[in-house]
Amino acid sequence: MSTWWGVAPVIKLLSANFLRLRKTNLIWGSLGVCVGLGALAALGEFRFQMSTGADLSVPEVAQAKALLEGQFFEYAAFIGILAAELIALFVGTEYSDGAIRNKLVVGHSRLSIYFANLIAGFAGSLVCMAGYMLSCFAVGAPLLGGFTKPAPLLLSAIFGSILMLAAFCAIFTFVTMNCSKKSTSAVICLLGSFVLLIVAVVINARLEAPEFIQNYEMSVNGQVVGAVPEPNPMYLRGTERAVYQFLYDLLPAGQAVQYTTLGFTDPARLMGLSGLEAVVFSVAGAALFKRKDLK
Amino acid sequence: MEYVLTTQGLSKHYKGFKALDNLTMRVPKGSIYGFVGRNGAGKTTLIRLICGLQAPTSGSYSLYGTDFTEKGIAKIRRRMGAVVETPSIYLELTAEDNLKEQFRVLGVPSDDGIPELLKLVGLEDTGKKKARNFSLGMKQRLGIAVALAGDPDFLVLDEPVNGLDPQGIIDIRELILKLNRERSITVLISSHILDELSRLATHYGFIDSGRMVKELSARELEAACRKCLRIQVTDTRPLARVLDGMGVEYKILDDGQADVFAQVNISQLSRALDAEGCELLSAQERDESLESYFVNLVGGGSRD
Repeated sequence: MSTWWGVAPVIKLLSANFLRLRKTNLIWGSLGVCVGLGALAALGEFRFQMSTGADLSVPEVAQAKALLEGQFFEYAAFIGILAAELIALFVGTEYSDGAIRNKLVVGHSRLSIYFANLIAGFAGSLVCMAGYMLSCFAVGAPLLGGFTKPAPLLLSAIFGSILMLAAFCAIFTFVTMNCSKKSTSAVICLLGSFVLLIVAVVINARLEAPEFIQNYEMSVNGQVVGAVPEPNPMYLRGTERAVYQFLYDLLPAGQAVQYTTLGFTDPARLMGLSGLEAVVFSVAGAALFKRKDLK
Repeated sequence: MEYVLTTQGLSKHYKGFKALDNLTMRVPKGSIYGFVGRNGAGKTTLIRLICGLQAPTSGSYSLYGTDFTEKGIAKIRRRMGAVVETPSIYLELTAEDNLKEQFRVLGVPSDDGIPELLKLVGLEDTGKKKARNFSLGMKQRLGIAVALAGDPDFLVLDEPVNGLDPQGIIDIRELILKLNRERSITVLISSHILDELSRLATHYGFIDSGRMVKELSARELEAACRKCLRIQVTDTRPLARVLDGMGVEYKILDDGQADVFAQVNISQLSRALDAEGCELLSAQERDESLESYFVNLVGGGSRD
């Protein structure tokens, strides 16, 4: 039936995708890694604080340091890499095992197949992300104290990082659905996610560079006699700074760094850019896939 | 005659290479259509096109009378099942889970039909064994089971016995015959293993260099390949009179040649022809196989 505007076929395909997701080790392995990392992050921070002699049994001490937030949003740094692996392997199997043909032969449209795979990849990644958050909170809240930052900031970071994940998934689905070789798409996605992260860290370093650096004057006997602030040549100014900031906000990996550190200033802008990227890559990917010759 | 698949001037070009060139064919309903051609002739390309994996460069095809450009084609495809090249199965899933997966793709509300389907293809005892650990024959049978999940009327099999051992070949053959006879499923099989195809097909299409060379029924092919005595004479008119007098079946090929479909006494024939003023030049026994028919049709030279 053509009612539901083509949603019914997507639901059938999603049902099949979720069944396969549940039946394969990929999602359980990825979820296990995320749950483990969440718990380890909280435990690691607790042990570090213990080693420094901090008395975390006093709630005010724990909360003043915002320790839980520091670990809770760590997922943003690696969720892109995990999504790359999950999507490249899950969707890539459609090509390597040839099962994508079974869907086309029985009359499913390419758009339905594309979006069902996109949604399944996103849902799988989201489950892993939630796994990290829940385990980190479950272990971290009793040990490190609760959240101390304002709720709107935390909620915008959570919601923003979900949109960031959607952008990541749209990019990796674009690559995987338009590359017939699972191994090639896996390499492109994984390598791409690392490169994006490195670029984001470099941009962050440039943006964080201080405007002035201190030039210390020392006497002959080695004593500091004065400190003269000098302009930092690495400091970005004017248009250059605006371009770097735009790229930092635009790149999902740039957003990942901002969510990890809770260092964002304009969450609406980040969410808007993520949403835009998700839409652009999905539409472009589906259009390319529609014209692709399959074997 | 009702046709399940018809193609009209179907072409597919890849960067200047014509994989299919103006191909026209018709697959009758209820038939087992043997699609014969050597490697690279365009068999798989045609199958990819009719399965919707690729779009034709020009020409058209229709399934059950619905053109591939029409909106209703998606619904018509629901009546189709196919195994293109390798079996399309998830190697990390069991046979049962592969079928569950396809049932969901098709929107089949219940999994009740799975045991019957597994039994049909002889995979009912595979349990929790993953498809990765199946033999090639088992994978092929699972691929066919997946293709049958939607209870199709039209099954497309691309080289289904490639790489199978003798028992595997027999299993697949029996399965195809069973599906055709018991479920009235029209089957299109591409193959270059002619001997195997000759045990199954009711119709044939011979393809070479992307073009349909000849389409005929098994009966017509049998007649063309029938054991006969090819006789060369100075004039076939007296030969016809003599053969009519002898009451044997024959076919005049040209002014000097005829095929006789009976055991005749050559000395008697020669004397009778002599009396009619006709000379018997040669007599050669002919027993054309599907293989030699194919070679005669497309030429024996290598393409490589």
